[in-house]
Amino acid sequence: MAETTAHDIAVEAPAEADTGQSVSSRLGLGFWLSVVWLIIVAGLALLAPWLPIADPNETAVGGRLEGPRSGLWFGSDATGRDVFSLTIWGARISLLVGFIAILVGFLVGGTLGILSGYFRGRFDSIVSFIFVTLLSFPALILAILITTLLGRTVFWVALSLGILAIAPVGRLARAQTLVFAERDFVTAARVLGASHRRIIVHELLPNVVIPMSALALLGMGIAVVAEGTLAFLGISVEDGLSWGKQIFLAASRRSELQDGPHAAFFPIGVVFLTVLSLNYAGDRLREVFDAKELVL
Amino acid sequence: MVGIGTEHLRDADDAILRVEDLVVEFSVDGGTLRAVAGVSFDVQAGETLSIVGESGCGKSTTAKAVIHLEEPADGVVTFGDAELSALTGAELREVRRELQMIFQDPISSLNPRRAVRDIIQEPAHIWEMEELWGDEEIDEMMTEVGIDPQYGDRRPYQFSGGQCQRISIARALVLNPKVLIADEPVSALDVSVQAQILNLLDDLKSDFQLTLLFISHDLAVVRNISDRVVVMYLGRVAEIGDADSLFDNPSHPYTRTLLAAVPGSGLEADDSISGELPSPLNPPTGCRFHTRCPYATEICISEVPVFTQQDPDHWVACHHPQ
Repeated sequence: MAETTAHDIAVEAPAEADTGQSVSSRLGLGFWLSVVWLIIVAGLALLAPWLPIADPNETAVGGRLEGPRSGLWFGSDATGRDVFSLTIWGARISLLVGFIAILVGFLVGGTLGILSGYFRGRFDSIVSFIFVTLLSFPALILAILITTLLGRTVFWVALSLGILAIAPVGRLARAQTLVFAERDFVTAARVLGASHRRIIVHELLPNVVIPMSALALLGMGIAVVAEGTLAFLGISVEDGLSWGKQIFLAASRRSELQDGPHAAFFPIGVVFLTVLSLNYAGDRLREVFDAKELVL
Repeated sequence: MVGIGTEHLRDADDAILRVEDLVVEFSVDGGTLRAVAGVSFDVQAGETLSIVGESGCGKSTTAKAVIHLEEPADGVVTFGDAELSALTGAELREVRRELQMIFQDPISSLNPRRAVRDIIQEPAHIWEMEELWGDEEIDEMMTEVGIDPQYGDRRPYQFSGGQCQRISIARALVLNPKVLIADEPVSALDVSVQAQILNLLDDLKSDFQLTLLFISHDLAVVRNISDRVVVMYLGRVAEIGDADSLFDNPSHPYTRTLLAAVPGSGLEADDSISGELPSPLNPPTGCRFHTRCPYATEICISEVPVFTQQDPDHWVACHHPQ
């Protein structure tokens, strides 16, 4: 052994001592503030039934359009419901819709995109045609169609948004896969005897999914806003008040908006901060991982 | 027969790898590109055979076709007792364990998201030989190729090109191959690192009883490590032979040109040629080198030269060998 390594004295230590730390510090304070905010919102939403807050459906908890005060932090709406409690319960619906929508988009679009980028050929042509078709289908019509025909439940609303996410997610996954499928490490894996399945899961997936996690966050932000738009059109989730529906109710009557703007502005602020956090965190992730690619 | 003869092939029983009349074609917009047009050579166990030639001469395509990474359009590749094109996918996968390859771009050869120890261990995972290749054995292999095992958790981008090539070599050796195909393994490396990798390959060759098929565009690199050399031009073999004989007595004008470009070769500058490699889409008639050859005559344009013997193990495909 000593003989073989005798001529290897020039082997220098690899660069960059501690990557873990440098990645987290490169993400920056803004990223971690965003993450903290998202954890708070998601945590409150998850724990809503056990929190010491008013029932969101109970009227006359406060007065009509009563302003914020101790114990009624976000004030009350036109029927005296607790706006703070409404916002937390609204998060349950809005975040769930966003999460399921992105999950559907990633599972279906991501899988199709990776497979078509890896196998190419006829399968790729068919999948690419499906993506183009989905992209050219009017989004709103699709949402109206699905929710009217199948029902305005969390699942169907999320699914109609998820279907819209399939094509953009799939096209990105395909493009990312094309980049890496040409690299020699994929060829090397083939020569070593790795199966297609193993190449996709072990060689391609980590390279495709990590940069795309940034898109998942951005996409969830978009889905939350899109759900709000559907709520404005009256085709979102029927039971319960999502953020979109809550804002719509609070802002739809001009006199109420003038008398108690807080009933609309508090949920608007929470939506704004949440979507901003999702976008910012996603953007930072993308930048940091792109920079890492540049090192190569 | 597409090629220019197989007389130069030695007794089939001695060869570990034998390539006869290999043809590789690609369909492109303008028709069919014949990147390899009838190439034959053989390699005996323990030998180092180098294939040299300019970019685009088909040497890398030949290497890939040998292990059927590119499907040959015609020709026979025999490895041991197996004729590769006759094998099913599963059989080919099994045979390829003994026929490994390393690539030109050492960084692209390694998955950027995996730790190098994991990368080296991958063949053991694929073939479910984890008990043979535990952490200790992987550490030994890393030491063998000159990578300190303490850096096993690092990612490829934290290593230099030369180190990445060492990691690639280690990964290929885990399968204990009989033949290692090295496709321009040092072309992307600094000159100082090139020598280290070449020495490493030479050492590993004896430690692991390897047969080496070495692809390079650089005759200076090839000279010290080769037992035999194949010079390719535009998809065909121009000259093949024992390394000493070929380097001492280059017979094909093209080989002389390549050698003249190596400092200290002693060959005259008027052996140098001008012009670019013609398009393989529309190769010249007769001898493919006639458009650039200083000795070309009528016959070179009309007739394809076949192999003639120069020395016992030195063959040249030229109408006017020098």
